[in-house]
Formats: sequence, structure tokens, C-alpha cells
Amino acid sequence: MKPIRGIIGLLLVGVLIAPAGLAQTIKGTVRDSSGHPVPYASVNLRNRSQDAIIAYTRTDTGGAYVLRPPAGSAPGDLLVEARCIGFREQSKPVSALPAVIDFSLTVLASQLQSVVVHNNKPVLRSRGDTLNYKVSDFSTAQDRVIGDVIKRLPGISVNDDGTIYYNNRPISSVYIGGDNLLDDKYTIATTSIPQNIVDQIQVIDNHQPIKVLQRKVNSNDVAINLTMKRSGKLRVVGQESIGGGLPGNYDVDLNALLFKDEYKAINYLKGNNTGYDLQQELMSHNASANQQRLGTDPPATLLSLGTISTPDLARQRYLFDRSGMLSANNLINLKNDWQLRLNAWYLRDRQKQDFSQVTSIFLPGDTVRYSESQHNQIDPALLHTQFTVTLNSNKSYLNDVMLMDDNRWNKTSHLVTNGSPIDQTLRDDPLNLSNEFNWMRSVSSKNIIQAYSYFSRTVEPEHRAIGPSYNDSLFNHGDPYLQLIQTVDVPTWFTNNYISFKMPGEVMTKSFRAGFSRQSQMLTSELGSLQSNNSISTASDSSANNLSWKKQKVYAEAAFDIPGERLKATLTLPFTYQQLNYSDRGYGLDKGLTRYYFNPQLIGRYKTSPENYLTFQYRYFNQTGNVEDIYQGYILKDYRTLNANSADLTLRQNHLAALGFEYRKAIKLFFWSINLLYNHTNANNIASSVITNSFQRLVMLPFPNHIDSWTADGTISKYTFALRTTFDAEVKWQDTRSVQVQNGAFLPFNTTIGMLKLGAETKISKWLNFSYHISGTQTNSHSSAEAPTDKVDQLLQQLAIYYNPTSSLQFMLSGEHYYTHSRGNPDLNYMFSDARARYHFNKRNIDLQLDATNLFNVRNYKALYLTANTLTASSYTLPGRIVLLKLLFNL
Amino acid sequence: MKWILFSAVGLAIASLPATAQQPDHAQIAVHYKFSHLRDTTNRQPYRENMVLLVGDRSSVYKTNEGPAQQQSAAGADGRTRTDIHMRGTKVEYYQFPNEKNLVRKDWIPMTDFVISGALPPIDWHITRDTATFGGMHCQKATTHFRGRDYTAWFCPDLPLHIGPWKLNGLPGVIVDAHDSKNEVSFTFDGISRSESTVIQPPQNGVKTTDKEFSKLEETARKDPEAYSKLMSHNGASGPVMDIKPGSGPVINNPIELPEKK
Repeated sequence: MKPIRGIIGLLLVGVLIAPAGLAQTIKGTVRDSSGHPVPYASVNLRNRSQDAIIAYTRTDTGGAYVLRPPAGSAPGDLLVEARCIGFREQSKPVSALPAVIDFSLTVLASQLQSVVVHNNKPVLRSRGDTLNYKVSDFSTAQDRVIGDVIKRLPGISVNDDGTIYYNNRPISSVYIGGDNLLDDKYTIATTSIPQNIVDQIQVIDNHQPIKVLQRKVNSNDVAINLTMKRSGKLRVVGQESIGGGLPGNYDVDLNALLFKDEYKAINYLKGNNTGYDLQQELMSHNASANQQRLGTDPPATLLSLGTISTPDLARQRYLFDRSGMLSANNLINLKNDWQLRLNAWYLRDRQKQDFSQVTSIFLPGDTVRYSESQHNQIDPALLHTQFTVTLNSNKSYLNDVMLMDDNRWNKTSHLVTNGSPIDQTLRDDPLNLSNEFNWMRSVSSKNIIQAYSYFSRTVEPEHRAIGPSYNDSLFNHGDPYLQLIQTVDVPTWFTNNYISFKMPGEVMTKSFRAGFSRQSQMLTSELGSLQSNNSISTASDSSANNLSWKKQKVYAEAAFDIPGERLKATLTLPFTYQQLNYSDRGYGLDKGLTRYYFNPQLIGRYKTSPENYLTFQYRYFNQTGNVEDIYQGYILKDYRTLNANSADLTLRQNHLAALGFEYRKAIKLFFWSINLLYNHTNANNIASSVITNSFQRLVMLPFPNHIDSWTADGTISKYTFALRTTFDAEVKWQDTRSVQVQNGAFLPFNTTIGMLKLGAETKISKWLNFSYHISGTQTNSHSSAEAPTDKVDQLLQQLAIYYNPTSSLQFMLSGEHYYTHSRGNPDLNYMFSDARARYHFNKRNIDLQLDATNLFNVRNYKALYLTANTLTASSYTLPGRIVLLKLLFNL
Repeated sequence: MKWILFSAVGLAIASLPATAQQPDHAQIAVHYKFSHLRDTTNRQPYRENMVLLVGDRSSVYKTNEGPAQQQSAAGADGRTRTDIHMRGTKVEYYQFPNEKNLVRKDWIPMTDFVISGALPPIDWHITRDTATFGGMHCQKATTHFRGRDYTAWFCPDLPLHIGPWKLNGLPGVIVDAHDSKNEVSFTFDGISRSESTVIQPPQNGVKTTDKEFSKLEETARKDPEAYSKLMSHNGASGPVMDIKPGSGPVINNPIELPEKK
């Protein structure tokens, strides 16, 4: 049926009988009872016999209307009605045509709801801010695991170490089907879960997993949740890959995953010797945030094998490994909101390192130079088990985590320094047992109370033996001896307990917390020489420690949180009363320090316009040192560094101020941002080093000093529609001023780093595209004294080309070029190249992949590093070319 | 003829400055089952539960997909659930019939966009057929709009000239509509009183035009990787083998068809 014909017909009729037609109108004005016109009122012409509307119109702003009845309408049959929300409807009969009919309507409250028959349809409720990405929209045929897809999502970026960021904010966790299986060790999930069983990737901003706190307490966390397809929930799935290659390499990844609603598991066995460091999968991506939550300050490892650091290359380029790991992660959902979880892993590895280095330290009037070459072997055996019990209901929340980490490091090193050979063995066995208890309950329908208790026991016995006859003049009165043995341990008991009360509100949420923490440690160390008759004599007086350390804190904190639309800000005001006692009878040391501290923090964000915002932060922080800043007896940290401290604690006050602005014009795909940061630290003592060709002695001296640093950072990126290319650039400038004491001289230092990065990524066509990135850094270090200024320039270029001739065949070729220039040294040029080819067998759903890394077989890498006044020239042995053939299939 | 009248009235009204008013609150909710045969090669149409929130002088048409995942996954009792948002479309249509304004809220990952335009005038032909929907007395009307012939049922007891999606202009709320081929349909699924939410397009949306938005949407679809890099404006990421962009749903039968003239 063509209504157009009907309309044209009517039009014709109307035109033909135009003069008569014009006369057949009904017009009038609709007013309210006080005489004001009612605009936009509905005026309908009804047919009495059928009670149907046959013509309709609306009043204009003056309340006037004109109705044209269809031809042939009998006036007696007609009714004009006026309806308007907020007024009682009225209808009047039509006596003759044309007619003038006015209405005077009486006011009546909106009747819409009374018209509707009461119906029980549920009303939608949604809070929070979730982005749902359908995996099929973002995945490509080459993606095998979900980590490959997550990298590509708008707003998401993934670091080299696997940390996932959303809008430059690190995510808290990766949830699987709503369950937290892995806490923040989510690399296990992103590298194991096959992408084809995941239905959606949800990015949940302001994520609040604790039901008691939902819709009451704002959270700034952002989390990712993977929702599984039905096919992924039914049976065990897995991405298996087995590879072998030359020269003598293996790469195995066997996993079994199950994602039912009541039971979830990720269990796998992996191993390789191609340079992929399995310890990356164990990495806790939110470690610093966790430490802040626990309030703990665990002691660091004190001893090491040498002073050479790892090269400034991707780890896979220099790591010689031979590893295997077994990991089990299992979760059970019980009735009534209870959940049990078990996570465990065991990793064994054998890593080899082959480095040599020449270090020059520029002192006024003198330059100290020493050389080292090291062949190291590091054998870790890492065991971790964690058991978690959770209750998460609307009224209360309970979470208890029992954890044990038993790691054993066995390191051996053959070192030649300034021509003399030294053999070392280092055993480091950190053991950590802890329990974290957290309980929350909602009271009086709005407020929330919380009780928290954390308890841990840590020991880390370290034992290093150097021999034979190492520096006997210093350590054994000139007589030969077997080994120089340094042992250290810092057994620690720690507990932190508090209760808190939260009062959520529409404009501001107030929280109050009070608690106490206690840290009790004993630093014991001994340096002895093992004689040929198997007796151990103390190497020197003042080389043993028996330092007892007790730190007690009582604290109260008030926090105010404004979760507004334009302005989001949090102000934290913690007050701490700290009592510290440390003593070491061997040195007649018995001191205490009692202080009140106030460490305010303000952090916030202000929206200047829908797409732009300003961020600001200010923080003032007091730090007292820890037990490792206070020991009096000498500890031989590495074979050439003897460390001892004065009896005074290092007290630091740190001011941090940051300001940033972010601009976005989404419609043009144009973004830029600027960030400024100022950091100022006051310290009451300074490390003084006495440096000779064979030794470095560090002592803390009570001279106040300060460190200032300014940083400015700008980024810009733009997509050009014409070239289908994204261009981005980053500029960074950092200036640090500090003071160092070396060989009795105070040397003020100024280090400036300037960095410029540019990049382009194109999509020329479906079967070919490339990406190019170039990054240049210039490091300048000079001191106001007579030491020379040194500059190191570095340039890194990366180019990758992707070629897909068919849907089953893919090629990739990439290259990296490193260039380093430093005055007075020859320029360094390095080129690394990788290639990959993959073929997909459609019928059996198997992939065959050929990987070749380091095509040019670069076996040696030299680098130059400049910090303050120390220039190190290092040389590393790299694994050469590796060609690997892999078979990939799904369970 | 009516069209001429409407546009004359419309011009008169449009030339007058709009007066600032109190925000409009929703009074009732009309539920629809929306169905659209997007891909003629695949006989399974796209379905979604939609709702039209009607206030005293404006309306908003948006998704009514409840938190389905939350419900179905809570089969066995007691588990940690994350607060999951709705699954349906993020596009919302705001009709302001007095101002003759249609505002569409649309979305490309990470950003809300607000696109303002004229409420398309539709010339309806009212028939004498009547029927009852949800206890409401309704009358039938037909029209040809954007390439399709629509049949709609409107309820004069709800005297607002609004309807689902872009359909408008009848002397009552349109509670049911479908096109002649049944490829696009808004099927009546109940009517109820509504929570008094404010009917207003989001304040923090980026205001733009239809043409600019279509251009951006096409880029995001054809080149999601470039778009995502820009939206996160991060630096370089390692070499990744991902050449083919992901394919979305095939729509070879859009709701608005070109007019065959």
C-alpha cells in the first residue's frame, strides 16, 4: 500500500476544491483558565461513530490551531478535543464547517501515571562505569591467548613486564568470570587463557569488589573481567605449544584450564631455554600498593656477587636460562557467598651470565679505575603457596590470606678483578610466612566498620664465601687462608592492626582509622676468614653485628573523599606516634628515637571541560631509616664494598608536588598532555665513600644535605585519516641536583637527561603494514668542581614489517638498532633482527611456527653508562642466533 | 497539506527562543522488544529489549537489557560478583517534540557523543483501526519513512507526539511499530510507571555533528588498533602480529534505507 498515493490524492482534491477547502477548516485558540495561551497542546478531530481520530494538529506558541477535516466529513459526526499534559482534557462538538472552536482548559497535575495500568516491570539499575569489549571485534586470526587481544583494546597499554594500564592507570587485577583467581599476578592469565573461549573483556572503572562497600565507598581501582563463552565453561581447555630448535633449545608450554561457575583452575607446566624469563609470570604487578596496604617495610637483600648491572636491552636478548615451572591456581565457590582459593608454584632455573666491565670514577684531581670480568651461574628454586578464604555478602566481608614463600638462591661466580681471580658462592634463602585478616560489616544501613590484622615472620639467611686468600693483607693479617665468609640475617616479626569507621555521603565520604604496628628485628652478621685448619677467625674487629631493632607505631588517620563529577579529590591526614629503639651491645649502642609525624597527602583531578582535565598532587612524607641504615659493624656487601654506618638514623623529609594537564579532542583523534613534577628531599646524613682501586668503603656521616629534582614531560599523538597512520611523540626533561662525598671531598652534582621519542604506525593495507619508532636520549652530568662534564648520547630505532599473503600464512620481520656516543670513546652500533613465519592448518586447527631471533648472530654487546661522576664501560656476552620450530595446538 | 502546516508551525516555533524550564522527569516507561534483521543472509535478527521513558514534554529511548550476566551467573548461591553494566546498545534517542529537536547519544569506546538535530517530521496517515495494548486504547497509522513503510499504533490517552527511535508526530505515544517486511519492529512489551529519572542527554558528552561522528566511527571500525593507540595515547609497544582488523556484525540491511525514487 502506498500512502504517498493517498496523500497526493488528497492534495489534488484539496487543490481542486481549494477555495471551498480553505473554508472547511476548524480553527481556534486553546487557553488556560486564566486566559494564557497553551502552546504545544494536542488538538484532535474525532469521528463520533468510530471514536477514532481522523485529523490532528498542535497549537503554536500563541495557542492557536487549524484543523482540516478530511473531505466528506459530516459536521454532526465530528468532535474536537484538546489535550495537554498538565491540563484536564476537553472536547467540543462541531456544529458546522467552517468553525471556530476555542478551549479554556483547567489545570490538572500530570495524569500520565494514572493512565497506566499498574505493571510490575523491573526498573534497570546500573552503577559504576564498565566498558564491554567483544573479543571477536578486536581479535585477529594470529591471536592465540587473551593477552594478545588485551594489548589492542582502546585505552589499554601493556608494558614490557606485562603490567596492564588503562588510561595510564595500572589495573588492580584480572578477574575471570567475576572471580579473583590470581590477585595481581595476572600474567599467568593473560599468557595462558586462549582468546577464543573469552566472550567479552570488561574494563571496570571505580571497581569495588567488596559488596559491603558497593555504592557507598568510591574506589579508584580499575579492573579487568573476562567473561567466558558457554563453550569455555564446559570442559578443560588449554593452549599447548611444544618447540625445539638450534642450537639446542627447547620451549614447552602445557596447560589445563577450567572455568566453570563453581570451580576455576589454571594449572600449567612450562619450561624454556630461549631467554623468556618465567619469573615474569610470578610478578606481582601491584607490589608497591600492596606494601602500603600492609604497612610493612621488609628488609632488603644485603649481599650480592658483584657490581655489574644487567644490560639496557630487552631481557630476552641477554638472558641465558634453562628453566622449568609448575603452577597451580584453583578456586572453589561455596554456598552463601563463601570462596576458597589455593595458589602455588615451584620454579627452577639455571641462569648464566658473562660480563666484563671497566669503571672510572672521576674525583677532583684523581681518577679511580678498576676492571672486572664475571662468569656467574644463578640457580633459583622458588616455592610459593597461598591459601585464601573469602566471605563476600551484602552485609559483611571477611578475607583471610595465609601465605608462605620459601625461595632458595644458589649463586656461584668466577670473577677476575684487576687481574686477580676470585671465586664466590652466595646462598640466599628468604623465607616468609604471613597471615592477613580483614573484616568489614555494614552498620545502620550506611556506615561501615572494619577490623584488620596483619602478621608476618621473615628470615633471610645469606652466606657468601670468597676465596682463596682474598685480600689477605686486609682480612687475615697477610697470611694465606681458605675463604672469607660473610653471613647476614635479619629475622623479623611484624604486625599491623587497626580498626576503622567509614561514613559514606553524597558529597563527601569521611573515614577514621586508628591502629598500631610493631616491627621487631635482629640484624646479625659476621665476617670471618676460614683458615686451613678449618677454624674461623674474625676478619677484623668491628666486623660483627648484633643489632636489635624495635619500632612501634600508634596511628590515627582521617580521610576525606570528594567523589564529584567535576572535581574528584582525596585528602588524607595521618598522625603517627613512633617509638624506635635500637641497640648493639658489641658497640655500646643503645639509642632511641621518639617522634610525632604528620604526613598529609592531597590528590585530585578537576575537569575543565568534557574532554580535558587538570590533575594535581601534593605529598609530604617523613622517613626514618631502617635497620640496614644503622649497623655499625662492617658488612662486605660485594667483594669490593665494605659498608658501615654511624650511629645516627637517616631522617628524611620528602616533598612531592605534581601538576598535569590532559587535552583530548576525540573527534579529531588528537591528544596531548603535559606533566610537571618537583621532588625535594632533606636528609640529615650523607653516605661518604672512600674509593680506592680495590675497595670502596661506605660510611654514613652526619651532614645535612638535600636532593632536588624537576621533571617535565609532554606527549602528543594524532591520527591522520588520509594516511591511516598514527603519529606520536614524547619529550621529557629531567634535572637532578645532589651532593656526594667521595674521598673526603664534597662534590655537588647536576645530572640532566633529555629525551625525545617519535613513532609512526600505519595500516597501508590488509596484507601489509609497518611500525617505526625512534628514541633519542642525552645524559649530561657535571659538577661545580673541577671534574669534567660527561655526555652520553643514545639513539634507538625500531622497525617492524608485517606481511600476510593469505589468511593462513603470516610473516614478520623486525629490526632494532642501538647507537651510543660518548666523548673520548668510539661510537657503538648494534643491530638486532628477528623474523617469524606462521602457517595455520585449518582442518586440524594446528599452527606451525618458525621463530628466528637475533638473525645477525650478535654475540657481544658493549654499553656505556654515566651516573653522577661514574663512567662504566661494560661488555656482555649474548646468546646468539636461535632458530625454533614450534607446534601449537588446543586441547 | 498537514506537512506544510506542521513545518509552518515548526518554523514559527523554531524561530522563537526556547525558554529555560525545569528538567523533565520520566513518568511512565513503555517497553518494547526491538528486532532488526541486520544481515539478509542470516535469518536470525538482532533482538534487544528497549524502553521509552516518557516525561511531560520529552522522552528518551534506550536499552533495557537488564544485568543478565549478573542474574544467570548467580545460579549457585554466593559468589563475588563485580558490578556489571548493561549489555545492550549504548545509543539513546532523546525527543523534544515542542522544540522539534532530536538528540542522539552515541558512543565509540571511551567517549560519549551527543549529536543534536531536527526531529524528522513524519507525515502519517491515520486509519480507523483501533486495538488495545496493555489495557490502553490505541489507534493505527501508517507512513513511509526513510525507505520503509511503517505501521504504528499510538495511544491518544498519552497525548505526546513521540515514539521509539526516531518515530514521532502522532497525537499520542507510539506503543508499537513495525515495517511492512517485518525487518524492523518495535513490539509492545508492557507499560509501567517509571522511576522519576531526569530526561536529559549526558552533560559530559562531546557535542558533535552527525557527519563528523560517522567519520570517527568508521575509523574506529576499520582501524581499531590505530584508534585504540590514540585513545590511550601511549608510546611504542613491541612488534605484534595483528594485521586483520576484527570483524563486527555484518549489517547489509540498515534500519534507514535509501529512498528508491
